[in-house]
Amino acid sequence: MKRIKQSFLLSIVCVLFAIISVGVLVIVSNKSNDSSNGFTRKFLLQQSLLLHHIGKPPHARFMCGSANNYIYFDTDTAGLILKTDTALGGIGLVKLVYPFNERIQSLYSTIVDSMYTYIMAGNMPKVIRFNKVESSYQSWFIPANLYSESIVIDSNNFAFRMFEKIAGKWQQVFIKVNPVNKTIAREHDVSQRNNDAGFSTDGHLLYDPGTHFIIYVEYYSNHITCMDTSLQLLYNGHTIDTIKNATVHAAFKKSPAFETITNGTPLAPVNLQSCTAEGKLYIHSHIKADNETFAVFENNAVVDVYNISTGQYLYSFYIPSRQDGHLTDFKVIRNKIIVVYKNAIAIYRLPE
Amino acid sequence: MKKLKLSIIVTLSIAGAAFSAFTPATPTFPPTGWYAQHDNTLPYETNQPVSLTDVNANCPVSTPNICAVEFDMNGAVKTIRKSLNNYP
Repeated sequence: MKRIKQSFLLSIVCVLFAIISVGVLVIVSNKSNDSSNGFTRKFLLQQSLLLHHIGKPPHARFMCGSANNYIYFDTDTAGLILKTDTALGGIGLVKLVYPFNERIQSLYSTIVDSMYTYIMAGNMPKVIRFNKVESSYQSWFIPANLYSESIVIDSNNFAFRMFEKIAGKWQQVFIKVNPVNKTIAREHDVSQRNNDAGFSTDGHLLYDPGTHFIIYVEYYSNHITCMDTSLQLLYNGHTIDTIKNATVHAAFKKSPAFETITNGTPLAPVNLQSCTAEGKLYIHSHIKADNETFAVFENNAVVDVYNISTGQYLYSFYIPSRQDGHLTDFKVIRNKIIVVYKNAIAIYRLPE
Repeated sequence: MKKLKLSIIVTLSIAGAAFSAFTPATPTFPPTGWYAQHDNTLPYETNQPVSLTDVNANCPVSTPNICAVEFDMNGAVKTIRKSLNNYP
């Protein structure tokens, strides 16, 4: 009986030890949003006001454009686009007629404007431009390497973040292509070179038609790059958080069939989705400010707004998180924010 | 004695399970061997297997970050993979 008691006591002690050990691990683990991050946000008094809301069609991904009072969303099938009006009154399907293949499907983005729809196929690398009025298309191979990010500057000019081997090492650089005139322009000393194939500086390439500026927002640090349409550096800016250096590192694996490079460390995003509108840059930040409570930060998506011309921080506001899941994309159109959640699409009035 | 052994085994199993639950699913690679084993075109090499599961684990659904880049045997970029695309 005594032995049983001893065993039982020992078991209890061991279990307690295990629980305490795990607790200590949790407490000492790196959680950037639990401690002071060394910056504060200026919040608008006005809240985002919900105007319209619908369940998200299961295959919708991003909002890919707006034109003539319609909003377009691309889907997880290249060439299939969803169309709705600005009150989210029903969803229609647009199908682009083109011999899409697996290479296009493996990496593409869709951009819709009033005249054209573009499929930017990074793994081809190719740009396919569909004329909405004439129901025709033109496609161009980009005579360079594959690209990870792309924007449309105008109907004949495109900019890319493209792989390039520099001094024997893969980097990613910004390139501008006019496939009609067959001209390619390349940036000079704009991109950071970390010799990791551009993984640690991965980000989102944007274009603001109002200022004609090209902006690159990095995912894993507070770095913002602003260029003109000749890819001349205008300024190196930063978001208001204090995460200057990405903690993400790439890892490489060689196998008999092919070689792969991927993220070798857990991802630590700083900036998530971003968009531009009328001279302003909107960035959904993943870093909590010191004047925010954890509960409010967790239950809302905080958007920081910057002046694109100067890079100056202006103010912040919240997009409420909903029962529809986390925010996966947002765009600002005039005084409205179109938000794509995991399970819903919503339109809010932009706070002023 | 038998019971003591049994309780130690059970306790260690619980502790092991609890510990592994807090260990990142994606293995982290120590920054050793930097440029040591390859042709200086890429960062460090690892013996850790990199499977599509690992790649997808690096790709939160909500962030369209680059998950992986595949190179052919000539060292040319063959395929870029991002989180929000279907993999053929």
